[in-house]
Amino acid sequence: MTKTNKTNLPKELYEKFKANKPLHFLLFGIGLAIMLLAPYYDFIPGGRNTNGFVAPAIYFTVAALGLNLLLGYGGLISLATSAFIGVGALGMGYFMLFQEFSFFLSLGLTILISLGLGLLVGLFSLKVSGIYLTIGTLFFATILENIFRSVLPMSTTESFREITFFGNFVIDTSKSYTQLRTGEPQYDRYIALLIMVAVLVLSMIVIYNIIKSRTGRAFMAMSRSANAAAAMGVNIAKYRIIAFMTASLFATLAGVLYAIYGTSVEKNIWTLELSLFILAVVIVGGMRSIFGTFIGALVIFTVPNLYINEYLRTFSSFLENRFGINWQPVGFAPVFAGLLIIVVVLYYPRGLIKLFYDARILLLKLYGLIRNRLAKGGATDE
Amino acid sequence: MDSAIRSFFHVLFNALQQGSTTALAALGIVLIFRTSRTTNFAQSSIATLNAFVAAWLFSSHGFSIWVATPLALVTAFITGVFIDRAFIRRAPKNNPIARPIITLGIIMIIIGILPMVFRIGQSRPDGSPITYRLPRFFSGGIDVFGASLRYNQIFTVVVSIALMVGVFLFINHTKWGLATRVTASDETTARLMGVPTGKVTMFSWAFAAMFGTFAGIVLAPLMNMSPTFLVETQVNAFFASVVGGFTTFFGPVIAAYIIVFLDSYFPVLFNFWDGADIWGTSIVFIMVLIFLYFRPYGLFGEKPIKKV
Amino acid sequence: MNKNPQPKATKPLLELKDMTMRFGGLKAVDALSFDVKEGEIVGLIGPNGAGKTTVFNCMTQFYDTYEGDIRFRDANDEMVSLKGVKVNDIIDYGIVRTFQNIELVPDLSVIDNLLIGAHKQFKTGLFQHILTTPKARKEEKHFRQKAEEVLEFMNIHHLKDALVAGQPYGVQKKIEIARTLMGDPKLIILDEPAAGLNDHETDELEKLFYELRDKYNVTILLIEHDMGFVMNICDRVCAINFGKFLAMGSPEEIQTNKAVQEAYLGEEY
Repeated sequence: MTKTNKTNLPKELYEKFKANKPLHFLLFGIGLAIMLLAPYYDFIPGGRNTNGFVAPAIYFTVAALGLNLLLGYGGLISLATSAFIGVGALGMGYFMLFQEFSFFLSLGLTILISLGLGLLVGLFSLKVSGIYLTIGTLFFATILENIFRSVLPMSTTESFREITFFGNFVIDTSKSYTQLRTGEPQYDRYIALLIMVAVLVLSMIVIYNIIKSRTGRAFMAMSRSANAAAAMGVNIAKYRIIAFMTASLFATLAGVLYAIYGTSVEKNIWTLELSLFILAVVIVGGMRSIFGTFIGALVIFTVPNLYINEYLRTFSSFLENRFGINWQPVGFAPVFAGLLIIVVVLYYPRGLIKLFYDARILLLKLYGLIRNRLAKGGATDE
Repeated sequence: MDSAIRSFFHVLFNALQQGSTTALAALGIVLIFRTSRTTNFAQSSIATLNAFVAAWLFSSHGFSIWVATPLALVTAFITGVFIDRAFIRRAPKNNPIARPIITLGIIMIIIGILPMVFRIGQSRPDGSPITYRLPRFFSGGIDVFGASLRYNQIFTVVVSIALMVGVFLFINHTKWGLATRVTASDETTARLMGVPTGKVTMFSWAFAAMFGTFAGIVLAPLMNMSPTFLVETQVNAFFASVVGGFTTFFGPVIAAYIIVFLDSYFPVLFNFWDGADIWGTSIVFIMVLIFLYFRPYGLFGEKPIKKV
Repeated sequence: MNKNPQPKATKPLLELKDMTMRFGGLKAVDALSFDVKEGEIVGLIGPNGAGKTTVFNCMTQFYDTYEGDIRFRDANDEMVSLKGVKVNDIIDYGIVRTFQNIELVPDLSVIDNLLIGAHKQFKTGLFQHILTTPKARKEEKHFRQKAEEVLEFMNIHHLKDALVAGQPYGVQKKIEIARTLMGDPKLIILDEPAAGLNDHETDELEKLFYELRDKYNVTILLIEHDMGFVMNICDRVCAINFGKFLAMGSPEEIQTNKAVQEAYLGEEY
């Protein structure tokens, strides 16, 4: 009796831990935050500062989570993601730099604008569906892009010097962390990163709670067949609006994080190309997977810039020195993302997150095989 | 008054040219949508790629435009066939968003390939930037009410309209056109009835790529050739496709002209308002969105009867 | 034991009065009137294209442009018109349907699919779900419990965590019926429940319907082409052709009805 209890307790705890997904997200966030300390302690050989490459993956994951909800659960493609990220970044820039509002007031106003625009897209989606809706979101994006470009009274790039959250809590994002190794510790950017990680973890938990609730089930039912879902009592209008508003809110939050971390906001980069990159994150990482979205973001935003570009540059200088061929390794990131999208859609539709499951199954199989071998070997020995 | 007439004709000639190219691009989009059930977001990217082939032949190898253009059309044909065979046909059938997403992936590949292969935006060893351009097919023009009508504009409009009329005649009066129409209305049944739907979709992709490329080549002299120089045309073409409705072949073509005319005349009509230039395009876009809200299946499209 | 006990109550639950539905110039349903009484199992039959599914679509307000009236007994025991009720509010009246082509979510587990059927009964809202308040958690648990009971009743409890995708056809049909039970239905509308089932499964389904009626107190209206099944199970059968009413009565009456025979077998019969 006592024996069974003893052996069952860890298993029970493990089962409990396995079921508690929000705890996983929290632990993931803590792990990520610790890893982001690397540049301060020379963890990375060669003293490279990798945080600058990981940061885009973090804030774009937030946007991609919103798109994943919309696409993976709602079955709706939006091509307006980058425009909504732009709303976040430029909204913060406009309110803080031009209106000199406080951080939280600017944040509130930006979110309100984003929700309002999300509501508009949602209302539009009530009447228009399928391909017409997808193209409609493209028009929304184009209109917003036009407004950013020609209406906003800002120059192409505006820089934040520092962001005052409240009282003495000021982040001076112009201080670089690499200064640490020369002497004085500069944690400002790390704090910005911590804020980003916190928002990321919160976003993950929020998305998880939405998809595990009746809202998530309603999304799934709606994307499979709107008519059948309606017969089950799902108010299609309401859920489409919720889907679009959530997606635009998350994209806008990503823009806000971009503004906090990036020290500057630009007017001209919120184009279709960025929306496609975010779409690539969702598809490549794995539709309907929260961790998959982060993995997708790492693969799309971090890997090409951090590793592959480096090798290509080496290759390019090799070509130049050895053969005198002038070849610049440009345009690699989009080709990489585009090829990944196509390969994943064609051959691996559940995305890279499935690699982990497949790898686990493979390991288990190998383990079983080895064990069988050993058992057989033992038998013959006897 | 004279200046008003002149600007009227000036805008008219430009709009006719732009409308024709947009209509060609829209026709390509609808052709692909109808026959292979794919929203081809990469229409302008494919066109850009092949327009750059023409520009590369012209600028770097000294080919005449009259030679470079057919060569680029051939590569466009190959691109279209390749994309259909290599990607679109292999897409999982049960996932309706797989194919549009593949075309989005194609956009990204082309966005990367352009600077990689043609080295746009980089400099030569001597420091001069690498640029591409394409000349007009014809130079010179005539004067109409003070506005100049270029021969090249006439050429563009005539060729575009001839191409479109050709397509309509082909679709409505030939055996292959019948196959296209049958494939467009019900692909599965068509295949079961022995219509070579595979060939129909393949040629649709090929011809759509050629139409887009031709539009790109005639637009190239009017603007700076950058990797994004056809994006506006594509957006307008999509516009036209939704306004005209994806269910007919002629709807998008007509809508393309309407939209380009609206867009072109807006700043002229509202020239008393300072904001007309800034807001013009946005306002036309918003008007179309509102139009779509009330007619979700476009001007000529019909709402399908819903079924469970 | 009487296989076909007469319904205890004879109050009408659903009434169609002169219902007409047009698609363009075509009358898919033409001045159709019939009723379904509480506790009955009623079959709606007719040759292909007779307009049976269209009748269902009008009842569930999926088509809202029909003429005439469809009335239903509401919670206050009064007959009310369903005209103008939104599609997604029909379930509030206790009308739940299944579909000719199974409309389950293949990427969700069986139990999650059942929970979609309880969608309207959740009282907590989105924000409570995001914050996972104790109330929201309790409610989720409650409905999961209920779903498990329904699955137990349908004998598919062992599949509760399996994905719907890949389940055999017969099981999917069962899941769809199970899902209707989650909505606390008074009237279950079934579009070809026996289509594609083998003999054994059809027998099982027959038994299930009696159990459904007795345990869950539901009235059943079904479309079916399997005449043996319809004649076996239904208390009354309504036959239509080209959208027009032909006859309604007990299975025996319908089998011997001249008009019905003509509709199915042609004039010369």
